[in-house]
Amino acid sequence: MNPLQMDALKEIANIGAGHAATALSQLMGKRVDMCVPQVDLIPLEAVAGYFGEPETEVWAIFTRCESSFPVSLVFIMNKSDGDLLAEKLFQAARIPDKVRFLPGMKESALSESGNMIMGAFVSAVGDLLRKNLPLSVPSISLDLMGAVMDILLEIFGGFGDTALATETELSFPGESRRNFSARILLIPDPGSLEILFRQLGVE
Amino acid sequence: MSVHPTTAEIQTLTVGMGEICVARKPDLLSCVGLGSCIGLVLYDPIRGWAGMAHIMLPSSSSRGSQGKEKPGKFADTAVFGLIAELESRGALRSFLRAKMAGGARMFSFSPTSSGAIGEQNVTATREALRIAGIRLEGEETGGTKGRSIVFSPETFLMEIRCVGQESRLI
Repeated sequence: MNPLQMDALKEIANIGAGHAATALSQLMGKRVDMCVPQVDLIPLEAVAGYFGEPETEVWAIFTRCESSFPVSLVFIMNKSDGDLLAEKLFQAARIPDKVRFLPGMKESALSESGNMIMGAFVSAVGDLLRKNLPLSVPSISLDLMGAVMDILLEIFGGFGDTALATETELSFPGESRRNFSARILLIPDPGSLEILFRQLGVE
Repeated sequence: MSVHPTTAEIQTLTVGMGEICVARKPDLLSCVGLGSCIGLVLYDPIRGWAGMAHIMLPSSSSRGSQGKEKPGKFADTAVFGLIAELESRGALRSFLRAKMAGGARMFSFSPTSSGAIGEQNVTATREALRIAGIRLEGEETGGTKGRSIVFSPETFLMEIRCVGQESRLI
């Protein structure tokens, strides 16, 4: 990727992430800070530990966009941060205790919020690119970071030695001495960036 | 590493993605966070050496030579890499045994018509073992949850742990 293409990709991620941050802040009723998106080129052998220790338990919500710009999106939070997000959602929606502890309730709440947040991301990108970018039903996992990151092998393993993802970190400033933080990864299918850059005239 | 037998420290060697590690008692071999990846162990019950590979992808042939690859990265090269390591420590191939875990489908998404990478890894590993004539003694593969494993070259047992579940032995 040349610098022009890198900038174009960062800009795309930036716009998407800005809308995602707004969606999250609306869900939580509080301000969300956003880091400038980074473009990461990750050697496949390093994916397990690239975004955090492989042993860390994380909530990961995964969704696919099958379109003329095929991409995958993953929303990742440490387990405790995901639990916190679910808790806030239950409070905001006034879900009674006896319901919120039913099996699968947390998964549903997080899955739905992941869907909204990534939906906002991809809708903004779709507007920018003048493309229809629909999202699949999300898939949610509570598991070790190392296992979750194998998705990059699934996507890039047949094509080369490197995975590419844009990464944005979202956080709540100053939340009771501990920041909530979440990451959104935008993972373009191999080859889809080339097509996109050609369409945008960024060669 | 300990040198005095009665005060032996147990070391757990964690096998990173694409790597192969070899150990004998009292040390242990481990893989953390196997999603679609496979943790494959070959062990020599006679001389007590065991090797573990953290397999990432099914086949080295699909993309041609990409330069120097880690020995445990592909199922086919990992099996032969493990055999070579154990034979160089005196193992006889016909006595080698295997155990494997992993190959899960972490998310319900399959980019290729040949199926999710976890399933491809399982098939490729089984096939490579078959070609090498190594008997598979234990296996826990598939599903949708990641696994962490610890293998003891002393007991030949593999402990498998999933988030939120009791650990199991195979």
